[in-house]
Amino acid sequence: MKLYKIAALLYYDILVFKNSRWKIVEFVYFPVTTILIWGLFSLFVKDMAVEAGLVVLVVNIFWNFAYIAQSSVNMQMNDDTWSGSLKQILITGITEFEYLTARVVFAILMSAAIMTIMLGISLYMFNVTLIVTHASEVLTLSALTLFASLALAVLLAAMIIAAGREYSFLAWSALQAFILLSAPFYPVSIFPEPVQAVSRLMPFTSIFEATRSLVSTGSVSSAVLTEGFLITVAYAVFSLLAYKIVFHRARKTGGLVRLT
Amino acid sequence: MSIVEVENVSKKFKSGKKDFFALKDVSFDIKKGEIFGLLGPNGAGKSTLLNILIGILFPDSGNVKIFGKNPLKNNDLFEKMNFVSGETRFHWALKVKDILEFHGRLYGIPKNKRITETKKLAKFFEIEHILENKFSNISTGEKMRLIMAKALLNNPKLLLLDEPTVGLDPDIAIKTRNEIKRINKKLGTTIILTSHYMHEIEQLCDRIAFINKGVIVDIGSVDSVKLRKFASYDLTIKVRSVKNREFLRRKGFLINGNILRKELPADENISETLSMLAEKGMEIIEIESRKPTLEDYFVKMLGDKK
Repeated sequence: MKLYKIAALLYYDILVFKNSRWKIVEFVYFPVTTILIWGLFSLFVKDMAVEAGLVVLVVNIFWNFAYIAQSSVNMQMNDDTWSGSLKQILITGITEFEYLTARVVFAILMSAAIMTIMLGISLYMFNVTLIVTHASEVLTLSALTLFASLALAVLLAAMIIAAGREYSFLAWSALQAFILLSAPFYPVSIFPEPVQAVSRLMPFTSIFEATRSLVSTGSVSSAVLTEGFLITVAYAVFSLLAYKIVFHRARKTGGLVRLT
Repeated sequence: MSIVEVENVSKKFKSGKKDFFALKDVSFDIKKGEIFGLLGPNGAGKSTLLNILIGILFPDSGNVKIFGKNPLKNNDLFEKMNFVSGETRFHWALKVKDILEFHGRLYGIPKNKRITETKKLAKFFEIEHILENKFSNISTGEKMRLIMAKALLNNPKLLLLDEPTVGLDPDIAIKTRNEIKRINKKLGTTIILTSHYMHEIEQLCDRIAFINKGVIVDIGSVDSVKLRKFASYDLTIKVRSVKNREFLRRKGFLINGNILRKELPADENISETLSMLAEKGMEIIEIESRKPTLEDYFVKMLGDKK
């Protein structure tokens, strides 16, 4: 791995972000307004169902965090395709993993900044004190969410490279299906049995289960976290392999040329 | 020493249910310091070949060596190369100076060198005044000048130029051609060039390969490939008055009033013919010789293949 290539791409991503107003809207405006909406909802239902309001708010924090982490990897890649600059990047001899690493580092920086803002709003505006009282659990869940989102981002990158630029929409739409199946506000048992089996294999299912438990009982089962971690490791390994194979195949079939 | 060696390279693509050869058993090599032209109609396989050379497409079979090494196993080789085409684009939101800075970093050029190279190239390609402009806000000609500046940023030992002067104003196109020639002569940069401007290929290239339907059908110096296709050229001479008509006819001249026409073998010197006319007492008023151009060659090659 050549660090200067990763650093150059990171420099590029930061410049593109700075110069693109719509990216600021995409990555800052939507998460912040979402947290404000559900924060206000949690205040409204405080006297009716305090736990439900908090669950909705905290799950939304992790959901948005996951979206920022995953989509910033895939949207930066989409940007390279749409702007026609991908070819000029690839011909410098950058490897597919250097290219990916830069995007992952950018996603970590970006999502960490937005997560800090979302947690700050929740703490100071909506008095979500568990952020402080259970900081280590929140941090662990955040790390796991980030890991799962990045694994998903790599898988989506592989899918977009394999399927072509008309499937770029996966960058901003695929997470929704994963969240639906990961039982964010409800238990897995709510699904019909065959779907439950699928839901158990989703990387975010354990994270949401642990989040709901944290809000309602103040504790998180280490077994649930371990299960979530292991599923995410499996996703990450599979995604990285798929990415490597797909990238190589795209160079053979001409898919990469069409993408550039 | 060969900088580029292409040996029996083939590449097939699918078109509907059928496979077709984009390249079929293509072999050639390019010596250090050469300017090598790739000629051929649209869809001939030129872009496929360039994409293989820049590493974004793998051949199905055959070998490619650049600087004596397999580029697919030696990623570092790509840092000694650069590629631009008339279709090259950069991110619309980036400023011109940021594009150069970013690519400089991507090629691992040290900071001081990046700054001096950027200044030098911006001055040469007359883009100093647009350094603060975003890519989306500059004209087609300015984009092409930026693309050329980017191509030279890493002082490439091998430069692949796909239609490098398309969309440029004539004065900048001339400057660009001169610059291509200059870096080739001064730095010994090996250059592979494709262009639809035949005079550009003729002016710049030491050798050319004519490629059609994925096959190299002709290769050699510009003069030698033309010679193979055109064994003669037309000579038209206007004289004050025609003398010795029979002699002239025997020598192969067509006579029309005071105008003499003759087809000369490609390697025959025009001065011998003029001396002969002068000896026969004819005063020459005007001479027009039309040697075949590369454009004629291109048209003839396509005609032959149809």
